[in-house]
Amino acid sequence: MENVSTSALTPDTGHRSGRRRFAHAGIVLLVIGLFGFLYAAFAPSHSAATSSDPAIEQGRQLYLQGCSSCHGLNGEGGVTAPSLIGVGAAAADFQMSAGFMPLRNHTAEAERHEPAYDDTEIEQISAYIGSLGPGPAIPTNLDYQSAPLAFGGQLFRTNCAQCHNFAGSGGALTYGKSAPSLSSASPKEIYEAMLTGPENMPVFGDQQITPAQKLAIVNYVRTIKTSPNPGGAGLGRIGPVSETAVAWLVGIGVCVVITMWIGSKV
Amino acid sequence: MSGDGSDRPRRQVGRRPDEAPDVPQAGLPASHSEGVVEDHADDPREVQFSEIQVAALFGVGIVAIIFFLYAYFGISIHDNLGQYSNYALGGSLAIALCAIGAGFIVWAKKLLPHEKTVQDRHDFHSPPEEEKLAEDTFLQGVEDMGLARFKILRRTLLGALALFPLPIVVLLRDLGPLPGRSLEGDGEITGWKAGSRLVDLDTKLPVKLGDLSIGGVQTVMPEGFGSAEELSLAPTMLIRFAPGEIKSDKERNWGINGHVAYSKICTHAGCPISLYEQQTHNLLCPCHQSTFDMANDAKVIFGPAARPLPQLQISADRDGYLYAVKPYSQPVGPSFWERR
Repeated sequence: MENVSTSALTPDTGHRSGRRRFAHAGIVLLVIGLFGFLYAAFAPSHSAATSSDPAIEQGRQLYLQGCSSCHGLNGEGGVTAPSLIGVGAAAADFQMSAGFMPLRNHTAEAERHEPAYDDTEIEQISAYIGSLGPGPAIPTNLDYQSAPLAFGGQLFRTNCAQCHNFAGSGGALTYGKSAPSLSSASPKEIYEAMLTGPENMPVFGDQQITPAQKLAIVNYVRTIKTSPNPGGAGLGRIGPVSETAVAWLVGIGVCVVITMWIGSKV
Repeated sequence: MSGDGSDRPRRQVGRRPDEAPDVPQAGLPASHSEGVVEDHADDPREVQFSEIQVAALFGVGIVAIIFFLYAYFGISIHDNLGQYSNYALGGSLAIALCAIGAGFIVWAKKLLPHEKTVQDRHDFHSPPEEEKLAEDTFLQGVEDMGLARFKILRRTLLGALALFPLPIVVLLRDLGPLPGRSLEGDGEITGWKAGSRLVDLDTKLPVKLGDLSIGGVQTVMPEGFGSAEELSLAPTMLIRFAPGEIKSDKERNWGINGHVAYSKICTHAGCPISLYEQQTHNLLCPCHQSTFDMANDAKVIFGPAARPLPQLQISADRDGYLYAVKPYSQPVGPSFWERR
């Protein structure tokens, strides 16, 4: 290390005096020592913070067992997984409670399945990941029922409907990805998804869509999910595609069959 | 083709194709071919069964109609957005019509006498003397008009017919004038002017640096937007990238601190697009799947769009509010024929 550094500082050796060489080496040693000091000054304080809260320490143990093989021993990320430093507890809580993480397969996008951890474990792991760096916290106020519904619908149509469909039924994106249906998303998951922007979803931070506006959107999504279909079958509520398919295949198909029955000679 | 009575029947109504050959009615000789009543439901038990079948179908129709009346008066339309009322009305009416119709068809098939008839078609030609008469009448008419004799009449007629298309051509002129370069002009037609602040589409509040998170997208409009034309041309996406994600120098220079603004109107058919993927930076148009790479000058990487989305040059004032440095320098919306 010393030799490499000094030779780099003095490209053509021989005409410099030994004293200067030692002086350069001293500076290099000093810098290395400074880095070591800085590291020593910051690293222990970090580990001290994790050990102070038993939930975070518990979460760290769970993280090391279940997540670190991809996301790194300190959440720094790896070849196949992003860094978790600064994503916030909300992102971790969303990914695990919605069942996207732990990842099952390396597909175009993570698939939703039953959560692998129980609520306490998710809370602990989220607390640990939240402690890695500043990021959005898990929302606490989810009292969405009193939020303005019509304004929520307006915000939904401007910001969400282009990908998630006007009724929250989801839709296709590029190269095998898709925006999922919102029918199985809990209010907290909808809120956290806006806050953290999982995978390819854009982030809608609190400066852009305020917490009150987020609750209005949650109220709208929950309301359209539970509202009845006055016109009959919803057909997945994906609009003209399913309606046309049913009209052509079922409607015209039945007409053809009846016509054949009328015209048959039996 | 004129049929004499002894011809074999060419057209038979109500013949059973799969009837067993030993049934006497099948494969009738030619002498029997006209007006033969083939009452194949001659078994009294079979007749009775068919009657019950038809009556049951009509009965279903009666029940469904009564249920329809009950549904109309009895089911509240104020609950559940009238969902159950609509189900009951539509369902019972459909069942009633289907049952009555099916009853008629079964009646016709099983109870009505099946009759084989032969219908001869007449020749398509008129008799030769009629054809001759029509030809003579036509030629006489042409001669009576006297186009050969009245020269001036003939020439003015030709002139009038030759001039007739001109009004149509003149009317087509109203489709113009051609836009020329006006669509490429200073771009203020979109509502964006030099210095226009960016405001949120819904809240109409001005947007500051830092309001948008990294990886976020927001639909913005020029401050004070209002007219329908502005609403159709002005929508703009504000996207914020992480440092180093923007590949193009021009894109970076036209934005500020990772914030860039692009027209939200697709350059293919004018659909509003903001299916933005924050990891791939792809922007997908839902209408025809045009895909733009938003980190690289919004270049088209898939689909029918012919050119990138126009970029709006933005900057921030001293208080951090974002504003348009100048209007769009390219026409927004669908490409048009004079675009190079």
